[in-house]
Amino acid sequence: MSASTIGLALEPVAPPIDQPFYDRLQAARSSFTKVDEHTVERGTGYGLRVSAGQAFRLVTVERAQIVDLCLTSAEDPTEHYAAGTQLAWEGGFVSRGNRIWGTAPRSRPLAACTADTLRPKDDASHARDHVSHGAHCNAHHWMLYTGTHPRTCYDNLRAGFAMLGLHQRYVHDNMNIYQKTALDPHTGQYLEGLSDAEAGDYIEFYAETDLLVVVSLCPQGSGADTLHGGDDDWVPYFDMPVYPIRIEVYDTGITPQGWPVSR
Amino acid sequence: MDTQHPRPMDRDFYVQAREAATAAQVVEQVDFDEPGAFLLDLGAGETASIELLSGAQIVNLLPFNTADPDERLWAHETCLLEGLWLTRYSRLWGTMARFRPLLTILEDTVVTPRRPGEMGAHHHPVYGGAGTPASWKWAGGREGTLTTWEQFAAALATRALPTTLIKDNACLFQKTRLDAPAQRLDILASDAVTGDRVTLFAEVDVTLMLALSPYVDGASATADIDESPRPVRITRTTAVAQPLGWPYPDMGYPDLALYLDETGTRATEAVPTPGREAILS
Repeated sequence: MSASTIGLALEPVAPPIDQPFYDRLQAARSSFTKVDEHTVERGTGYGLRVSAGQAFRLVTVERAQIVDLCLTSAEDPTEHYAAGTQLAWEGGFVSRGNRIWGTAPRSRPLAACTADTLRPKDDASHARDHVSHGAHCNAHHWMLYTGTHPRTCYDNLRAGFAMLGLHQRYVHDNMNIYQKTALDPHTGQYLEGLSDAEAGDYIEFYAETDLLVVVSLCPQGSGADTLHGGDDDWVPYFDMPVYPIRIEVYDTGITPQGWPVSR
Repeated sequence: MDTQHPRPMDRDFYVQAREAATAAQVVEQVDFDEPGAFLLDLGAGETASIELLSGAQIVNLLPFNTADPDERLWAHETCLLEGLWLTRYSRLWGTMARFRPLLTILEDTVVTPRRPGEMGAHHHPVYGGAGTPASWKWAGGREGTLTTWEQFAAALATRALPTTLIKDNACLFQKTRLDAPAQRLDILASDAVTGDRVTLFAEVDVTLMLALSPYVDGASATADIDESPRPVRITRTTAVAQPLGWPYPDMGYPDLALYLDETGTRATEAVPTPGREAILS
Protein backbone atom coordinates (compact mmCIF):
# COMPACT_ATOMS: atom_id res chain seq x y z
CA MET A 1 0.00 0.00 0.00
CA SER A 2 1.43 3.35 -0.99
CA ALA A 3 2.06 6.08 1.49
CA SER A 4 -0.57 8.23 -0.18
CA THR A 5 -3.36 5.71 0.32
CA ILE A 6 -5.81 6.65 3.03
CA GLY A 7 -5.92 3.81 5.53
CA LEU A 8 -8.90 1.53 5.63
CA ALA A 9 -10.74 0.99 8.87
CA LEU A 10 -11.68 -2.56 9.73
CA GLU A 11 -15.40 -2.83 10.18
CA PRO A 12 -16.60 -3.15 13.79
CA VAL A 13 -17.43 -6.70 14.78
CA ALA A 14 -21.16 -7.36 14.87
CA PRO A 15 -22.01 -10.44 16.94
CA PRO A 16 -25.43 -11.93 16.27
CA ILE A 17 -28.30 -10.46 18.22
CA ASP A 18 -31.90 -11.50 18.64
CA GLN A 19 -33.30 -8.00 18.76
CA PRO A 20 -36.94 -9.08 19.26
CA PHE A 21 -35.85 -10.78 22.48
CA TYR A 22 -34.38 -7.57 23.83
CA ASP A 23 -37.46 -5.66 22.67
CA ARG A 24 -39.62 -8.07 24.70
CA LEU A 25 -37.29 -7.65 27.65
CA GLN A 26 -37.63 -3.88 27.47
CA ALA A 27 -41.39 -4.12 27.21
CA ALA A 28 -41.51 -6.34 30.30
CA ARG A 29 -39.58 -3.95 32.52
CA SER A 30 -42.67 -2.50 34.14
CA SER A 31 -43.51 -5.95 35.50
CA PHE A 32 -40.09 -6.67 37.00
CA THR A 33 -40.50 -7.64 40.68
CA LYS A 34 -37.98 -6.54 43.26
CA VAL A 35 -36.82 -9.53 45.33
CA ASP A 36 -33.83 -8.17 47.18
CA GLU A 37 -31.97 -5.00 47.96
CA HIS A 38 -28.82 -4.09 49.79
CA THR A 39 -27.20 -0.76 50.57
CA VAL A 40 -23.46 -0.90 50.15
CA GLU A 41 -21.91 1.39 52.72
CA ARG A 42 -19.67 4.17 51.58
CA GLY A 43 -16.11 3.20 50.72
CA THR A 44 -16.64 -0.56 50.86
CA GLY A 45 -17.10 -3.55 48.60
CA TYR A 46 -19.76 -6.21 48.21
CA GLY A 47 -20.41 -9.45 46.38
CA LEU A 48 -23.69 -11.12 45.50
CA ARG A 49 -25.12 -13.74 43.21
CA VAL A 50 -27.65 -12.80 40.55
CA SER A 51 -29.41 -15.62 38.78
CA ALA A 52 -29.89 -15.90 35.05
CA GLY A 53 -33.03 -14.03 34.08
CA GLN A 54 -32.83 -11.67 37.03
CA ALA A 55 -31.85 -8.03 36.73
CA PHE A 56 -29.89 -5.88 39.12
CA ARG A 57 -29.70 -2.12 39.54
CA LEU A 58 -26.98 0.10 40.92
CA VAL A 59 -28.87 3.02 42.43
CA THR A 60 -27.44 6.38 43.40
CA VAL A 61 -28.65 7.00 46.93
CA GLU A 62 -27.35 10.45 47.90
CA ARG A 63 -24.93 11.70 45.28
CA ALA A 64 -22.93 10.27 42.43
CA GLN A 65 -20.54 7.57 43.54
CA ILE A 66 -18.09 5.73 41.30
CA VAL A 67 -18.75 2.00 41.33
CA ASP A 68 -16.19 -0.46 40.01
CA LEU A 69 -18.22 -3.38 38.70
CA CYS A 70 -16.92 -6.92 38.13
CA LEU A 71 -19.09 -9.60 36.53
CA THR A 72 -18.10 -13.25 36.73
CA SER A 73 -19.85 -16.42 35.62
CA ALA A 74 -21.17 -18.22 38.69
CA GLU A 75 -20.74 -21.62 37.06
CA ASP A 76 -17.14 -20.94 35.99
CA PRO A 77 -15.43 -18.02 37.74
CA THR A 78 -12.59 -18.08 35.23
CA GLU A 79 -15.10 -16.66 32.74
CA HIS A 80 -15.54 -12.98 33.47
CA TYR A 81 -16.13 -9.56 31.98
CA ALA A 82 -13.76 -8.87 29.07
CA ALA A 83 -13.00 -5.15 28.95
CA GLY A 84 -10.84 -5.37 25.84
CA THR A 85 -13.53 -7.16 23.89
CA GLN A 86 -16.16 -4.76 25.22
CA LEU A 87 -14.15 -1.78 24.05
CA ALA A 88 -13.74 -3.28 20.59
CA TRP A 89 -17.34 -4.49 20.12
CA GLU A 90 -19.46 -1.93 22.00
CA GLY A 91 -17.18 1.07 22.48
CA GLY A 92 -15.97 2.82 25.58
CA PHE A 93 -19.27 3.49 27.33
CA VAL A 94 -22.00 1.30 28.78
CA SER A 95 -25.64 2.31 28.58
CA ARG A 96 -29.01 0.95 27.67
CA GLY A 97 -28.78 -1.41 24.73
CA ASN A 98 -25.18 -2.49 25.27
CA ARG A 99 -24.44 -6.11 25.91
CA ILE A 100 -21.70 -6.94 28.41
CA TRP A 101 -19.22 -9.45 26.98
CA GLY A 102 -17.28 -12.22 28.64
CA THR A 103 -13.85 -13.70 28.07
CA ALA A 104 -12.78 -16.13 25.38
CA PRO A 105 -13.21 -18.88 24.44
CA ARG A 106 -16.97 -18.51 25.02
CA SER A 107 -17.03 -14.75 24.29
CA ARG A 108 -20.71 -14.63 25.15
CA PRO A 109 -22.83 -11.90 26.65
CA LEU A 110 -22.84 -12.14 30.44
CA ALA A 111 -25.38 -9.36 30.83
CA ALA A 112 -27.28 -6.70 28.93
CA CYS A 113 -27.81 -3.14 30.05
CA THR A 114 -31.56 -2.62 30.08
CA ALA A 115 -31.87 0.80 31.68
CA ASP A 116 -29.80 3.89 32.35
CA THR A 117 -31.59 6.88 33.85
CA LEU A 118 -28.56 9.18 33.98
CA ARG A 119 -28.90 12.21 31.73
CA PRO A 120 -25.43 13.06 30.45
CA LYS A 121 -24.20 16.60 30.11
CA ASP A 122 -22.01 16.37 27.06
CA ASP A 123 -19.06 18.63 26.55
CA ALA A 124 -16.21 18.98 24.10
CA SER A 125 -14.20 16.31 25.86
CA HIS A 126 -16.76 13.60 24.95
CA ALA A 127 -16.46 12.33 28.52
CA ARG A 128 -19.45 10.38 29.76
CA ASP A 129 -20.44 8.25 32.67
CA HIS A 130 -20.25 4.46 32.74
CA VAL A 131 -16.90 3.63 31.20
CA SER A 132 -16.32 0.10 29.95
CA HIS A 133 -12.64 0.00 30.87
CA GLY A 134 -10.05 1.54 33.17
CA ALA A 135 -9.42 -1.08 35.88
CA HIS A 136 -9.45 -0.19 39.57
CA CYS A 137 -7.61 2.08 41.95
CA ASN A 138 -5.24 0.31 44.26
CA ALA A 139 -2.76 0.80 47.08
CA HIS A 140 -0.02 1.87 44.69
CA HIS A 141 -1.92 4.96 43.51
CA TRP A 142 -2.79 6.00 47.03
CA MET A 143 0.58 5.35 48.63
CA LEU A 144 2.40 7.25 45.90
CA TYR A 145 0.20 10.32 45.98
CA THR A 146 -1.17 10.46 49.51
CA GLY A 147 1.02 8.23 51.65
CA THR A 148 -2.14 6.46 52.82
CA HIS A 149 -3.68 3.10 52.02
CA PRO A 150 -7.46 3.39 52.32
CA ARG A 151 -9.92 0.72 51.24
CA THR A 152 -9.00 0.94 47.60
CA CYS A 153 -11.09 -0.55 44.82
CA TYR A 154 -8.71 -3.51 44.54
CA ASP A 155 -9.14 -4.14 48.28
CA ASN A 156 -12.93 -3.70 48.08
CA LEU A 157 -13.20 -6.00 45.10
CA ARG A 158 -11.02 -8.52 46.89
CA ALA A 159 -13.37 -8.34 49.87
CA GLY A 160 -16.40 -8.72 47.65
CA PHE A 161 -14.97 -11.79 45.93
CA ALA A 162 -14.04 -13.22 49.34
CA MET A 163 -17.72 -12.98 50.33
CA LEU A 164 -18.36 -15.35 47.41
CA GLY A 165 -15.52 -17.71 48.33
CA LEU A 166 -13.08 -16.47 45.68
CA HIS A 167 -9.58 -15.10 46.17
CA GLN A 168 -7.92 -11.97 44.82
CA ARG A 169 -6.74 -13.53 41.55
CA TYR A 170 -10.37 -13.46 40.41
CA VAL A 171 -10.39 -9.67 40.52
CA HIS A 172 -10.41 -8.58 36.88
CA ASP A 173 -10.55 -5.46 34.76
CA ASN A 174 -13.90 -3.90 35.45
CA MET A 175 -16.45 -1.38 34.28
CA ASN A 176 -16.42 1.99 36.00
CA ILE A 177 -20.03 2.91 36.60
CA TYR A 178 -20.81 6.55 37.44
CA GLN A 179 -17.29 7.51 36.46
CA LYS A 180 -17.23 10.23 33.85
CA THR A 181 -14.20 9.97 31.67
CA ALA A 182 -12.95 9.60 28.11
CA LEU A 183 -9.75 8.97 26.24
CA ASP A 184 -8.44 12.00 24.38
CA PRO A 185 -8.41 11.09 20.67
CA HIS A 186 -5.19 12.99 20.07
CA THR A 187 -3.02 12.11 23.05
CA GLY A 188 -4.65 8.90 24.24
CA GLN A 189 -4.66 10.26 27.78
CA TYR A 190 -7.60 9.96 30.15
CA LEU A 191 -9.82 13.00 30.57
CA GLU A 192 -11.71 12.98 33.85
CA GLY A 193 -14.72 14.84 35.11
CA LEU A 194 -17.43 14.82 37.72
CA SER A 195 -20.20 12.29 37.29
CA ASP A 196 -23.53 13.61 35.97
CA ALA A 197 -25.49 11.20 38.19
CA GLU A 198 -28.11 12.51 40.59
CA ALA A 199 -29.82 10.93 43.55
CA GLY A 200 -32.19 8.23 42.34
CA ASP A 201 -30.36 7.55 39.09
CA TYR A 202 -29.72 3.92 38.33
CA ILE A 203 -28.25 1.63 35.73
CA GLU A 204 -29.79 -1.78 35.27
CA PHE A 205 -28.35 -5.02 33.94
CA TYR A 206 -30.14 -8.21 32.89
CA ALA A 207 -28.24 -11.40 33.75
CA GLU A 208 -27.84 -13.58 30.66
CA THR A 209 -26.36 -16.30 32.85
CA ASP A 210 -25.89 -16.96 36.57
CA LEU A 211 -23.58 -14.21 37.70
CA LEU A 212 -21.37 -13.26 40.57
CA VAL A 213 -21.59 -9.48 40.86
CA VAL A 214 -18.86 -7.71 42.81
CA VAL A 215 -18.72 -3.97 43.37
CA SER A 216 -16.38 -1.47 44.94
CA LEU A 217 -17.42 2.01 45.99
CA CYS A 218 -14.35 3.92 44.94
CA PRO A 219 -12.64 6.09 47.56
CA GLN A 220 -12.53 8.77 44.87
CA GLY A 221 -16.18 9.35 45.49
CA SER A 222 -17.95 11.10 42.65
CA GLY A 223 -15.03 11.96 40.44
CA ALA A 224 -12.06 14.10 39.86
CA ASP A 225 -13.10 17.59 40.80
CA THR A 226 -10.19 18.01 43.22
CA LEU A 227 -7.72 15.91 41.28
CA HIS A 228 -5.86 18.57 39.43
CA GLY A 229 -4.33 21.67 40.87
CA GLY A 230 -2.09 23.96 38.87
CA ASP A 231 -0.83 23.45 35.38
CA ASP A 232 2.28 21.57 36.40
CA ASP A 233 1.47 19.62 39.50
CA TRP A 234 -0.50 16.53 40.16
CA VAL A 235 -2.49 17.34 43.28
CA PRO A 236 -2.82 14.38 45.63
CA TYR A 237 -6.37 13.53 46.44
CA PHE A 238 -7.58 12.37 49.82
CA ASP A 239 -10.51 12.70 52.17
CA MET A 240 -12.87 12.85 49.22
CA PRO A 241 -16.52 12.46 50.18
CA VAL A 242 -17.87 9.03 49.37
CA TYR A 243 -21.47 7.88 49.19
CA PRO A 244 -23.48 4.67 49.47
CA ILE A 245 -24.99 2.74 46.57
CA ARG A 246 -28.08 0.58 46.73
CA ILE A 247 -28.15 -2.70 44.80
CA GLU A 248 -31.62 -3.92 43.88
CA VAL A 249 -32.35 -7.35 42.41
CA TYR A 250 -35.42 -8.08 40.31
CA ASP A 251 -37.11 -11.14 38.93
CA THR A 252 -37.91 -10.34 35.29
CA GLY A 253 -39.97 -13.35 34.26
CA ILE A 254 -37.88 -13.50 31.07
CA THR A 255 -35.67 -16.54 30.55
CA PRO A 256 -32.36 -15.85 28.80
CA GLN A 257 -32.19 -17.16 25.28
CA GLY A 258 -28.75 -18.72 25.64
CA TRP A 259 -25.77 -18.38 23.35
CA PRO A 260 -25.02 -18.41 20.52
CA VAL A 261 -28.08 -17.24 18.71
CA SER A 262 -28.48 -17.34 14.97
CA ARG A 263 -28.21 -14.05 13.09
CA MET B 1 5.02 12.88 27.66
CA ASP B 2 2.24 14.41 29.70
CA THR B 3 0.40 12.06 31.92
CA GLN B 4 -2.26 12.66 34.49
CA HIS B 5 -0.99 9.82 36.59
CA PRO B 6 2.79 10.31 36.66
CA ARG B 7 5.18 7.81 38.08
CA PRO B 8 8.81 8.73 38.75
CA MET B 9 11.08 7.98 35.81
CA ASP B 10 14.84 8.39 35.55
CA ARG B 11 14.79 9.50 31.97
CA ASP B 12 18.56 9.81 31.68
CA PHE B 13 18.92 6.13 32.53
CA TYR B 14 16.73 5.12 29.61
CA VAL B 15 18.43 7.50 27.22
CA GLN B 16 21.73 5.85 28.07
CA ALA B 17 20.20 2.38 27.87
CA ARG B 18 18.87 3.18 24.42
CA GLU B 19 22.31 4.23 23.31
CA ALA B 20 23.88 1.12 24.80
CA ALA B 21 21.32 -1.07 23.07
CA THR B 22 22.57 -0.02 19.65
CA ALA B 23 25.94 -1.60 20.40
CA ALA B 24 24.76 -4.56 22.45
CA GLN B 25 25.89 -8.08 21.65
CA VAL B 26 23.31 -10.27 19.97
CA VAL B 27 22.59 -13.44 21.92
CA GLU B 28 19.74 -14.88 19.92
CA GLN B 29 18.04 -14.05 16.63
CA VAL B 30 15.03 -15.71 15.10
CA ASP B 31 13.09 -14.97 11.94
CA PHE B 32 9.53 -15.76 12.90
CA ASP B 33 6.62 -16.24 10.50
CA GLU B 34 4.75 -19.22 11.91
CA PRO B 35 1.09 -19.28 12.89
CA GLY B 36 1.76 -19.73 16.56
CA ALA B 37 2.97 -17.57 19.41
CA PHE B 38 6.66 -17.20 20.13
CA LEU B 39 7.97 -17.27 23.67
CA LEU B 40 11.17 -15.40 24.41
CA ASP B 41 12.70 -15.35 27.88
CA LEU B 42 14.57 -12.16 28.64
CA GLY B 43 16.83 -11.62 31.60
CA ALA B 44 16.55 -8.36 33.48
CA GLY B 45 18.54 -5.71 31.61
CA GLU B 46 18.47 -7.56 28.28
CA THR B 47 16.70 -6.20 25.23
CA ALA B 48 14.48 -7.68 22.56
CA SER B 49 13.91 -6.06 19.20
CA ILE B 50 11.03 -6.92 16.93
CA GLU B 51 11.85 -5.91 13.38
CA LEU B 52 9.61 -6.10 10.33
CA LEU B 53 11.12 -8.10 7.49
CA SER B 54 8.49 -7.89 4.79
CA GLY B 55 6.22 -4.94 5.33
CA ALA B 56 3.85 -4.05 8.14
CA GLN B 57 2.74 -6.84 10.43
CA ILE B 58 0.79 -6.45 13.67
CA VAL B 59 2.60 -8.23 16.48
CA ASN B 60 0.59 -8.88 19.62
CA LEU B 61 2.59 -8.82 22.84
CA LEU B 62 1.67 -10.20 26.23
CA PRO B 63 4.67 -10.26 28.59
CA PHE B 64 4.74 -12.02 31.96
CA ASN B 65 7.11 -12.51 34.85
CA THR B 66 8.99 -15.68 33.94
CA ALA B 67 9.03 -16.93 37.52
CA ASP B 68 5.48 -15.81 38.33
CA PRO B 69 3.25 -15.64 35.24
CA ASP B 70 0.40 -14.28 37.36
CA GLU B 71 2.33 -11.00 37.12
CA ARG B 72 1.74 -9.92 33.54
CA LEU B 73 0.92 -6.92 31.40
CA TRP B 74 -1.80 -4.72 32.86
CA ALA B 75 -3.00 -2.96 29.72
CA HIS B 76 -5.63 -0.85 31.44
CA GLU B 77 -3.30 0.60 34.03
CA THR B 78 -0.60 1.03 31.40
CA CYS B 79 -3.11 3.10 29.42
CA LEU B 80 -3.86 5.17 32.52
CA LEU B 81 -0.18 5.86 33.17
CA GLU B 82 1.26 6.01 29.66
CA GLY B 83 -1.68 6.82 27.44
CA LEU B 84 -3.37 4.64 24.87
CA TRP B 85 -0.50 4.40 22.42
CA LEU B 86 2.99 3.22 23.25
CA THR B 87 6.19 4.72 21.92
CA ARG B 88 9.78 5.33 22.91
CA TYR B 89 10.21 5.33 26.72
CA SER B 90 6.71 4.03 27.37
CA ARG B 91 6.70 1.56 30.23
CA LEU B 92 4.60 -1.59 30.20
CA TRP B 93 3.24 -2.10 33.69
CA GLY B 94 2.50 -5.37 35.43
CA THR B 95 -0.48 -6.52 37.44
CA MET B 96 -1.10 -6.50 41.15
CA ALA B 97 0.35 -7.01 43.63
CA ARG B 98 3.63 -5.45 42.53
CA PHE B 99 2.29 -3.10 39.81
CA ARG B 100 5.77 -2.36 38.52
CA PRO B 101 7.32 -1.87 35.08
CA LEU B 102 7.94 -5.15 33.28
CA LEU B 103 9.36 -3.62 30.10
CA THR B 104 10.36 -0.21 28.79
CA ILE B 105 10.39 0.67 25.11
CA LEU B 106 13.82 1.95 24.15
CA GLU B 107 13.16 2.36 20.47
CA ASP B 108 10.21 2.79 18.15
CA THR B 109 11.05 3.65 14.55
CA VAL B 110 7.50 3.67 13.14
CA VAL B 111 6.46 6.99 11.65
CA THR B 112 2.81 8.03 11.67
CA PRO B 113 2.12 10.47 8.82
CA ARG B 114 -0.72 12.94 9.20
CA ARG B 115 -3.39 12.22 6.64
CA PRO B 116 -6.90 13.56 6.09
CA GLY B 117 -9.47 11.43 7.88
CA GLU B 118 -6.93 9.93 10.27
CA MET B 119 -6.94 12.60 12.94
CA GLY B 120 -5.24 11.40 16.07
CA ALA B 121 -4.16 8.07 14.64
CA HIS B 122 -1.15 6.44 16.27
CA HIS B 123 0.62 3.10 16.31
CA HIS B 124 1.08 0.53 19.08
CA PRO B 125 -2.16 0.71 21.11
CA VAL B 126 -1.83 -0.93 24.49
CA TYR B 127 -5.46 -2.09 24.43
CA GLY B 128 -5.74 -5.36 22.58
CA GLY B 129 -7.76 -8.27 23.74
CA ALA B 130 -10.08 -8.50 20.80
CA GLY B 131 -8.13 -11.08 18.81
CA THR B 132 -10.46 -13.84 19.92
CA PRO B 133 -11.99 -16.67 17.91
CA ALA B 134 -15.38 -14.98 18.24
CA SER B 135 -14.11 -11.65 16.90
CA TRP B 136 -12.59 -13.38 13.90
CA LYS B 137 -15.68 -15.47 13.26
CA TRP B 138 -18.27 -12.69 13.60
CA ALA B 139 -16.24 -10.48 11.30
CA GLY B 140 -16.29 -13.18 8.62
CA GLY B 141 -12.70 -14.30 8.96
CA ARG B 142 -11.41 -17.34 7.10
CA GLU B 143 -12.09 -20.61 8.89
CA GLY B 144 -9.12 -22.46 10.27
CA THR B 145 -7.11 -19.30 10.97
CA LEU B 146 -5.35 -19.27 14.32
CA THR B 147 -6.41 -16.16 16.19
CA THR B 148 -4.17 -14.40 18.67
CA TRP B 149 -6.07 -15.84 21.62
CA GLU B 150 -5.61 -19.36 20.28
CA GLN B 151 -1.94 -18.73 19.60
CA PHE B 152 -1.45 -17.47 23.15
CA ALA B 153 -3.38 -20.44 24.55
CA ALA B 154 -1.18 -22.90 22.67
CA ALA B 155 2.01 -21.15 23.74
CA LEU B 156 0.95 -21.12 27.38
CA ALA B 157 0.14 -24.82 27.16
CA THR B 158 3.76 -25.56 26.25
CA ARG B 159 4.62 -24.37 29.76
CA ALA B 160 1.58 -25.95 31.40
CA LEU B 161 0.09 -22.52 32.01
CA PRO B 162 -3.68 -21.88 31.92
CA THR B 163 -5.54 -19.72 29.45
CA THR B 164 -6.83 -17.69 32.40
CA LEU B 165 -3.51 -15.85 32.22
CA ILE B 166 -4.50 -14.29 28.91
CA LYS B 167 -5.27 -10.62 29.42
CA ASP B 168 -5.53 -7.69 27.07
CA ASN B 169 -2.33 -7.46 25.06
CA ALA B 170 -0.38 -4.66 23.40
CA CYS B 171 -0.65 -4.48 19.62
CA LEU B 172 2.72 -3.46 18.21
CA PHE B 173 2.76 -1.94 14.73
CA GLN B 174 -1.04 -1.72 14.69
CA LYS B 175 -2.41 1.69 13.73
CA THR B 176 -5.58 2.90 15.38
CA ARG B 177 -7.55 6.05 15.81
CA LEU B 178 -10.06 6.73 18.54
CA ASP B 179 -13.60 7.61 17.59
CA ALA B 180 -14.12 10.24 20.27
CA PRO B 181 -17.91 10.15 20.82
CA ALA B 182 -18.17 6.35 20.85
CA GLN B 183 -14.72 5.83 22.35
CA ARG B 184 -14.19 2.97 19.95
CA LEU B 185 -10.83 2.12 18.44
CA ASP B 186 -10.83 1.97 14.66
CA ILE B 187 -8.05 -0.10 13.10
CA LEU B 188 -6.34 1.52 10.14
CA ALA B 189 -3.73 0.30 7.71
CA SER B 190 -0.38 0.34 9.46
CA ASP B 191 2.27 2.78 8.24
CA ALA B 192 5.09 0.57 9.44
CA VAL B 193 7.55 -0.51 6.76
CA THR B 194 10.22 -3.14 6.33
CA GLY B 195 13.02 -2.41 8.76
CA ASP B 196 10.86 -0.71 11.36
CA ARG B 197 11.44 -2.05 14.82
CA VAL B 198 10.42 -1.78 18.45
CA THR B 199 13.09 -2.47 21.07
CA LEU B 200 12.08 -3.53 24.59
CA PHE B 201 14.20 -3.35 27.75
CA ALA B 202 13.51 -5.99 30.39
CA GLU B 203 13.03 -4.46 33.82
CA VAL B 204 12.74 -7.91 35.40
CA ASP B 205 13.20 -11.49 34.19
CA VAL B 206 10.30 -11.54 31.77
CA THR B 207 8.86 -13.79 29.09
CA LEU B 208 7.60 -12.13 25.95
CA MET B 209 4.68 -13.92 24.37
CA LEU B 210 4.48 -12.70 20.77
CA ALA B 211 1.85 -13.59 18.21
CA LEU B 212 1.65 -12.52 14.56
CA SER B 213 -1.84 -11.16 14.09
CA PRO B 214 -3.95 -12.78 11.36
CA TYR B 215 -5.10 -9.24 10.57
CA VAL B 216 -1.59 -8.77 9.11
CA ASP B 217 -1.28 -4.99 8.64
CA GLY B 218 -4.85 -3.96 9.43
CA ALA B 219 -5.44 -2.84 5.85
CA SER B 220 -8.10 -5.33 4.78
CA ALA B 221 -11.58 -6.18 5.91
CA THR B 222 -11.48 -9.37 7.94
CA ALA B 223 -13.49 -11.33 5.41
CA ASP B 224 -11.06 -10.32 2.65
CA ILE B 225 -7.86 -11.38 4.37
CA ASP B 226 -6.25 -14.23 2.46
CA GLU B 227 -2.64 -13.46 3.23
CA SER B 228 -0.56 -15.22 5.83
CA PRO B 229 1.18 -13.15 8.51
CA ARG B 230 4.43 -11.57 7.40
CA PRO B 231 7.75 -12.47 8.98
CA VAL B 232 9.45 -10.53 11.75
CA ARG B 233 12.94 -10.81 13.20
CA ILE B 234 13.26 -11.17 16.94
CA THR B 235 16.66 -10.27 18.34
CA ARG B 236 17.73 -10.68 21.92
CA THR B 237 20.84 -8.97 23.27
CA THR B 238 22.96 -9.15 26.36
CA ALA B 239 22.11 -6.84 29.22
CA VAL B 240 22.61 -3.20 28.30
CA ALA B 241 22.12 -1.86 31.81
CA GLN B 242 21.30 -3.00 35.31
CA PRO B 243 17.61 -2.16 35.84
CA LEU B 244 16.98 0.47 38.48
CA GLY B 245 14.44 -1.67 40.26
CA TRP B 246 11.04 -0.64 41.57
CA PRO B 247 10.05 1.20 43.66
CA TYR B 248 12.53 4.01 43.45
CA PRO B 249 14.05 5.03 46.82
CA ASP B 250 11.80 7.11 49.07
CA MET B 251 8.78 6.43 46.88
CA GLY B 252 5.45 5.67 48.55
CA TYR B 253 4.79 1.96 48.02
CA PRO B 254 2.35 -0.41 49.72
CA ASP B 255 3.24 -3.30 52.00
CA LEU B 256 3.26 -6.27 49.63
CA ALA B 257 2.85 -8.65 52.56
CA LEU B 258 -0.83 -7.64 52.48
CA TYR B 259 -1.17 -9.38 49.14
CA LEU B 260 1.57 -11.98 48.82
CA ASP B 261 1.94 -15.32 50.54
CA GLU B 262 5.06 -17.16 51.60
CA THR B 263 5.82 -18.08 47.98
CA GLY B 264 6.14 -14.41 47.11
CA THR B 265 3.16 -14.61 44.77
CA ARG B 266 -0.40 -13.38 45.23
CA ALA B 267 -2.12 -15.23 48.02
CA THR B 268 -4.88 -17.60 46.98
CA GLU B 269 -6.88 -17.58 50.18
CA ALA B 270 -10.36 -16.11 49.83
CA VAL B 271 -9.89 -13.37 52.41
CA PRO B 272 -10.02 -9.58 52.34
CA THR B 273 -6.85 -7.50 52.50
CA PRO B 274 -5.71 -7.55 56.13
CA GLY B 275 -6.73 -4.41 57.95
CA ARG B 276 -9.45 -3.77 55.43
CA GLU B 277 -11.74 -6.59 56.39
CA ALA B 278 -14.82 -4.74 57.41
CA ILE B 279 -17.61 -4.71 54.92
CA LEU B 280 -19.67 -2.46 57.06
CA SER B 281 -23.09 -3.78 56.14
